[in-house]
Amino acid sequence: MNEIATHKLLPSTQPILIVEDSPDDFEATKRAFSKANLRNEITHCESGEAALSYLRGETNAKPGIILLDLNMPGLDGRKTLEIIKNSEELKKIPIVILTTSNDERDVQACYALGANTYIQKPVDFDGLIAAIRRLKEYWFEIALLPKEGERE
Amino acid sequence: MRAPNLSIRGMLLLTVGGLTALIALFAAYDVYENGRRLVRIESLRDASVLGDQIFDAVDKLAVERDVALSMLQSTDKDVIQDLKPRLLETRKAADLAMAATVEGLKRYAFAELVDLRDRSLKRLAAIKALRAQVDRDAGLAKAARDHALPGKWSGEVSALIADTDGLWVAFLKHFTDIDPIVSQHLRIKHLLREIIEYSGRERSQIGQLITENVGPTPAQVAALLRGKGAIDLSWQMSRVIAEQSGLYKSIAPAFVDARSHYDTMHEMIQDMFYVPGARHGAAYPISVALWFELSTEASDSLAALRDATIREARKYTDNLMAASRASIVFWAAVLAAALALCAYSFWVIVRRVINPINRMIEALLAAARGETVQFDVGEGRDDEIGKLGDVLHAFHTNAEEIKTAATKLERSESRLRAVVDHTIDGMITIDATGAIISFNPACEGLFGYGAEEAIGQDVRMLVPENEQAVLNAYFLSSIETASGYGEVPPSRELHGRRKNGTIVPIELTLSPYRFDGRQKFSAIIRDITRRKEAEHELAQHTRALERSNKELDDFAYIASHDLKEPLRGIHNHSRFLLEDNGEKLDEESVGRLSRLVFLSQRMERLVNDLLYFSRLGRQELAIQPTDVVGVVTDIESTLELFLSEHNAKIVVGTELPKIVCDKTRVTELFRNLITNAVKYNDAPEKVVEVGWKAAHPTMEGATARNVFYVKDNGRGIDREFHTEIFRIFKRLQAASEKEEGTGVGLTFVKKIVERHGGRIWLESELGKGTTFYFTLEATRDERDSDAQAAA
Repeated sequence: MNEIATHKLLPSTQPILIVEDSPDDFEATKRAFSKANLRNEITHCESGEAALSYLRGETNAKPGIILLDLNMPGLDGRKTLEIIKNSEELKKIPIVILTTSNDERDVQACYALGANTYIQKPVDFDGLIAAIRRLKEYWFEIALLPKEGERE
Repeated sequence: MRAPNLSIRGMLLLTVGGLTALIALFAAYDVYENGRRLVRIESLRDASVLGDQIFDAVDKLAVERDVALSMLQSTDKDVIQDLKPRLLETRKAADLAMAATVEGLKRYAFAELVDLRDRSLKRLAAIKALRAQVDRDAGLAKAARDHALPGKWSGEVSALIADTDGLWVAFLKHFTDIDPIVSQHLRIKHLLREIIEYSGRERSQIGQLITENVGPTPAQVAALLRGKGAIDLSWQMSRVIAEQSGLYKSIAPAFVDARSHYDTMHEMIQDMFYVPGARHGAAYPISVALWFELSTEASDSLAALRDATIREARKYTDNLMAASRASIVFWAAVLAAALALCAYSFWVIVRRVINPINRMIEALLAAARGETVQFDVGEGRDDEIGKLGDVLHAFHTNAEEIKTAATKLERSESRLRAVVDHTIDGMITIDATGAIISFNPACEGLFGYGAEEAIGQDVRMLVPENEQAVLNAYFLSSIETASGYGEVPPSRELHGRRKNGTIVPIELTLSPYRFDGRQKFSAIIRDITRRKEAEHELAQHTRALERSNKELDDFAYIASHDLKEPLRGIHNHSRFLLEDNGEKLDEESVGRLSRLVFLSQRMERLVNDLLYFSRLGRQELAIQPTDVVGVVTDIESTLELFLSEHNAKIVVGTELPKIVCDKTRVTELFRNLITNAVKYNDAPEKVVEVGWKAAHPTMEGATARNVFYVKDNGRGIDREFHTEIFRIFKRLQAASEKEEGTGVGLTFVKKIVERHGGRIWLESELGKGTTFYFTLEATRDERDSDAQAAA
């Protein structure tokens, strides 16, 4: 699949990249996607480094959206976010921060680095499902917007 | 100018004597002037009398001459016989006049008058001799007529009359000097004399014509008419002058009478000359007797007028003299009175002022020698001298007390001195130029300079060069403050430089003051080395505390993240197990897993509350003006559903003030108290009252001001829990499925109140309800001003 083709795809057919070090949280997120009726292909990277190498991989399909945990060993979510948003190639991919922290400083720092939205991971699973449903609506909405450059 | 060195007595003498002399001088001058004036008036009056007599005599001489002349010319013996007694009478009068004149001239010796008198007497003697001859020998009459004797007489008498005119001018001059009215009177007299003289000459001429029974020549008629015109002018002038001088009023009857007689006589003359049919040179149909009668009446009335005039003029002169005499008497009396008063007052002053003062001076001198004396001036006087005596007496009797007070003052001053000398703080006084005036022992110890070294030096030597500018600025600002009514500039922290050059941290307090009208400063200097050390230590502790807080913050953050992650795992796995294998599990396992899900949810809330609580204590308050009514209205609208579910309502019990606070936190505070009031409430209709009171007693019984309260009609709280309920995670009831609170609500409330510097307490009655009271001290200023406005 080439890049142009990817952009033209509907969100429901685009793959989702989840960057998450905790297998428990990954499983919960995956389940929540399923509960929210999102059947997209899901790619899981356990670290920032892994996510970047996946995104730079020539053969890998570019994800329609990235869910990024903040607190990870090694290259953490903030740095990963910064690198992606500074990359001409990758910066257009919407990034959702999905993290346990609800610290003001984290929230503001992420938005400053270019995160598209921010979801606090609730302990309650039903809360997570609700959050993913809201994300789905948000994602579909931004995917239908005209792309940058097409507006003019 | 230097004041003369005089005693009080001398000054009084000088003053009183000077004033008296002034009055006396004035009075004496007046007496002298009036005396002189009196003498002059008197002498001139006498001279005037003399003059009158002379003129009288001269007039009579003239008349006698004319009568004698006509008598000599008469041929009628009977006529001569008839005139004899009259002539004798006239002569007698002239003799009297002359005798009086002699007496007056003796007294005043006016040269001209004397001369005139002599000549008058000579002429009179000649006339007497002539008359004697006429009496002796009738034949002589013829001889006299034939000879030039009458003409000779006539010329001599005329010269005599002319002399009196010159005399008259001299008189007028003298009298003008004294009084213009007197001189006017003389002029009237002179005019009248002219009239009398002319009238006499006229009569004698007419008489001669009648006697000789011949008509007048045209030249004689013309002369008569001319003379008549001149005499009319004299009449008019004399009247005008008499009116001017005020004399006319008194002589008016005599004047009118004389004038009318004269005019009648003159009419007669005119009739005689202008009778129709009469012709020049014809004899006149008039008897000598009638003519004499007429002319005598005219002559008498003129004499009466003259007498009246003289009398009135003299009266005036007498009045002038009387005024001068009165003035002399008055001023002499004044002079005497002034001298007497002066003597009396001097006597009084000596008795009442000088002597008492001298006694007091003696008493003071005795008191100065240490004797006990009396300053009583006696007689219970309450004037200045009496008061002076009382005051001196009071001073004297208080002398002992003053001595005691002085001793006390001395002791007080030495105590103060001791304080200054022994105080730990350095005390310096400085003048406006910065020179040191005093330097206490503490300063000596602090700076290493001795007081004798420091005094007079510039105070700036006590600070390092780089801080001298700061010290100067402090001096200036302290003067500015002192010149107004502002407060004293606060202390400054500086460095002091010791004599040995070492630097010591000091605290300096400058207080400007004025002494003897000069700007001075007092400086209090404190060695703050130890305080600086303590401050340094405190700063270190503060930094350590900040570090510790930071660590706590990090800990809370880590807790929120790292504790929640495994918790989420437990929750999720339980959920998945239930979802995936629910039907395979027995009922008990499903129950336990469900419980696990519930507990993990509760644990999350606890962790979140803990995190929130930690932030509550750490974050700065966002202070802003807040309307508490608005806060309560907001809560009411956000809790609408909750309130209706619980059948509850919020009532605002009193007026709520506008305050300054962290609006968000205070909203949270009210919301927590309101939700608690609803939640722990069994009443069918739940009422929460919110209000404010200016003052309310606290639990300890003290009075708190500006108190908010939230009151419910709920279950009430037992007294033993009134403190405990604010503890974190403390709930009074066992956790139930229904009540999902974590028990931190009141802990947050207490924290918010404390962050605002306030305090919270409650009053409660079981079964009736609870009232939470709290203050927000951080907002005190705003509410105080509100409270004042309300008052």
